[in-house]
Amino acid sequence: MKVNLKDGIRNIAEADGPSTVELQRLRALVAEATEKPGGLGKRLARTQTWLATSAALLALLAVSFWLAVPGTAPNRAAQLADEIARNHVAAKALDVEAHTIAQLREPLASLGFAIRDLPPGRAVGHLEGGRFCSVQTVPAALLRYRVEPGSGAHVTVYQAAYMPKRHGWLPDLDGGEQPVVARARGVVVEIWTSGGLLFATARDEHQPSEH
Amino acid sequence: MSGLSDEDLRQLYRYGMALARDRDRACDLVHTAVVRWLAGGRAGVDNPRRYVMVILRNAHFDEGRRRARHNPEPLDDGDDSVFHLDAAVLEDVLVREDQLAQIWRRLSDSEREVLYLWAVEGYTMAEVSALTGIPKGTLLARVHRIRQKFKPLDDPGQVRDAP
Repeated sequence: MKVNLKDGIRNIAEADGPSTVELQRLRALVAEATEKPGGLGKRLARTQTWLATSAALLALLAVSFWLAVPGTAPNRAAQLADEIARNHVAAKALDVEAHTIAQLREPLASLGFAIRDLPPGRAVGHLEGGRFCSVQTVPAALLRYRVEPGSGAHVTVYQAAYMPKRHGWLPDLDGGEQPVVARARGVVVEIWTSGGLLFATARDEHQPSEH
Repeated sequence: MSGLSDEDLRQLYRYGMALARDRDRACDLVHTAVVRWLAGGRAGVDNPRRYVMVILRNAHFDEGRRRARHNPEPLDDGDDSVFHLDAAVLEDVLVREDQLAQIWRRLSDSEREVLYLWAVEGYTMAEVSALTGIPKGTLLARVHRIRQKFKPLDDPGQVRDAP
């Protein structure tokens, strides 16, 4: 007989409860930790205080070094490019297989924006599908394109609602600006905005651009 | 007194079981979490069980990261305006209990945690996000993938393996 998923999980949790012996053991462990004045809890607290102080000093040193050395302050576009390149290289399994953008719109509708085709002249190959992901923690769609059918080379395209506070300033293609081009992890990343969306493409560095 | 009732301990143990699927490990997690909670001072904690739950899950996933050396999931600072988050897609899932038990074992720790907090603790997905620190985008994707794993049940004889 079929059950509602929620009820089924509650039944599993009920069956996974502690036995009488296990509950007694837990009570004893908790009582020991609570009542021993010089017990494990206090020792752990002292250790944690010492560790926290050491960590704070190390962090202070690291920040001082970071501020003192020119050129080490992170660049927002470079951070974006690095995150995008890392995801491109990981090439995780697609959530939805599709050959057109229209086929992806409904499955990925919960992202809260309408996925769009790439602008004319920036086509990258044959769409294989999409996956939920995030860019600088903003929910995003990852679209994977095969450069040539049957080839191993692929291009990853990202789309997300553009949030300047999260993503930093990025060029507006509609305003005639050119995409930011960055290299990270052996991947060429291009980033731009258009119509309120952030777009990014990632391709292996040895792979020629199609535009 | 620790401020935790027997019912709190039972629920913490069940949560540990949902994460670790091992009775000894669940006991260890509850113990570790309670000790850390006591060591950190309990003043001002209105809901000790919820507080200990957070410590428990951190202990579990910290240990998992040390073992597997996998990349920790990024933390989000939260933005409810990004999209509306809910688990409505899970509400209509009907499943045979033996199939559920089979899938439950195959789900990842993170997936079981989301389902446990939703079904047993009665949390909304926004509350799950607040408790766990899981970015809302990641949580939405996770719910979607969990739903996909139950889809083959509509077609008898097929159960998809967890990746």
